[in-house]
Amino acid sequence: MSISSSLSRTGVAAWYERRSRRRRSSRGADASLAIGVAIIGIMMLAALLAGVLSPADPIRQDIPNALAPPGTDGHPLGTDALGRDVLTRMLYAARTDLFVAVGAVLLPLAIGVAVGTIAGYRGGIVDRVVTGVVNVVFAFPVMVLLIALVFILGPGIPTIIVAVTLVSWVSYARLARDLVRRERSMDYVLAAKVSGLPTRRILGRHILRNIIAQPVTFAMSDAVAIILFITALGFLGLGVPPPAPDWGTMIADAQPYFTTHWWLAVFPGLAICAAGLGLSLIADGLSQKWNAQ
Amino acid sequence: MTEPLLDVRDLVVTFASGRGWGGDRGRIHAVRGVDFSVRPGEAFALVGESGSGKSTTAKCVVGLQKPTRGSITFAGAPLDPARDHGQRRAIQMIFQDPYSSLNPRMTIGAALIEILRVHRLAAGREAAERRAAELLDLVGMPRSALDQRPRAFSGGQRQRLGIARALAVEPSLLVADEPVSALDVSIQASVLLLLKQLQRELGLTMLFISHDLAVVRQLCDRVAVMADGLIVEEGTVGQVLTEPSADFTRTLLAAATDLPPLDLDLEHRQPKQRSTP
Repeated sequence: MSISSSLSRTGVAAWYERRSRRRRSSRGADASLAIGVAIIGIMMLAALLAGVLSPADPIRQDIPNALAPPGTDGHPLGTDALGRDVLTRMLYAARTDLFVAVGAVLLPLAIGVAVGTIAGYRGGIVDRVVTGVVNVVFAFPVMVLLIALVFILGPGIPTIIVAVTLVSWVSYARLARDLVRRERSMDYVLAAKVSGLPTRRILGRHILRNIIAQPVTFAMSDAVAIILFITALGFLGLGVPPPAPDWGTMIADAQPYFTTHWWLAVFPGLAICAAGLGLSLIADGLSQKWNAQ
Repeated sequence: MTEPLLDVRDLVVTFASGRGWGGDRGRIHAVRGVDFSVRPGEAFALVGESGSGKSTTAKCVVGLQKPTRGSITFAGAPLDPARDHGQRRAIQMIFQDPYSSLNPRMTIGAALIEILRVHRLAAGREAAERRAAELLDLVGMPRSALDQRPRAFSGGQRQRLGIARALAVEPSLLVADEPVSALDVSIQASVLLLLKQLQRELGLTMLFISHDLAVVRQLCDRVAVMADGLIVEEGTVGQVLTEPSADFTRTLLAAATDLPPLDLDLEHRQPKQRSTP
């Protein structure tokens, strides 16, 4: 009968799958993670120590020395059209952009995963309502919402975080909901139910632990998108209000000088790339590590 | 005759198949009116092919499935899906697939201690740890398993751990849903032996779900044969397996004896099993 066939399917195949996954993991994951953490760590450190690393004032104008090329005495990365030091502005911009990115990732991550987990586990009417809201938000034009919000709340960092959260929690909710729906019929969840564990505990200690890797990995790569989004907002003039520096605004300000004064756009551009690369490597390393477990 | 521990009357479970707004469109009748009762201390088997409704019936008993109709009485009290703490504790389950029934991210110790503490079966962390270690002794697993995660163990070992989890809350009824069908034949015998010993030592009542008559013959006292959501035959294992009255049971028996290697294997093993502790 079906004993030998079910044995080979559930037993050996599962064993082999786990086994090979575990082998594939370790070294590549560790390397990605280490390099990613190093890049982001250095950037964060530089952002924190901005005042020490570069004593110049990021918003002080010095028109006579405007548009100095990189390597000029006192301005290793040159100055912008208003004579402000590019390196100093980049360091302070890192503060803004990294902080906003962290806030604009953690908040939607927490909200989305919580809502999605409950919807996926409960099912029924709760699930249908959440799925409906998620679909509406997905279909909503982000920029229109943002412009409306900037109008209501005024431009600034809180507005950006609120706007990003309003839009991007749905990705996490959808992801968590689907993962939980798959997970909730797994035997170990049923076993926890039969054991008489309270639902709160089953969700928090059992299901969440098994699904959290994907949302967190997604958050890391989402952080890249959010940095780009903030940059885009800055470029459109809807972002961090001037004269506070951020990478996007710096590139926007550099627009008239793209062909003549390359350093104005290239250095902030490189910073964005480096932040994106670092976060992507962390995401990649984490996902490999978690999948191996 | 003793009062039954578990009494199932006219159990009906119907699933809606597919999605749709039409109320009656596509219904699957998984269980179509099942009656049986399990006496305290006995091992009662529900056998049948896959799709016969035996697992669904088991799920109703442990509270994972809401019956469409019918009543389940446990120790004289009605049992509905929203059962109370004590009732939930009293009925535990062993799952078919030992690879998915343990939480992959929790150590065995953490999982057992969690259950013990939620049910307040141990005063303090140390007592819970001691009890968890005793549970491992009970199922023949080394205490070092406490600090390991499920992936460190083979199917047979995991199934032992699954049994330890089920026993942690000291249930009076153990529902075993095909507990050995995912295991290697050579390991099946040892897990069955363990179940048999535990049943005797702890005075457990067992509801055993299986499609394998050879396994049922070794372990159970009475058996009910299910087909298409109905019980077609019921009686002692001796009666049903030697003088089947229903055609379906005969077919099932014929199918089982079609596999000489398995039957031979188990029969050869029997004397050995009794001698090993």
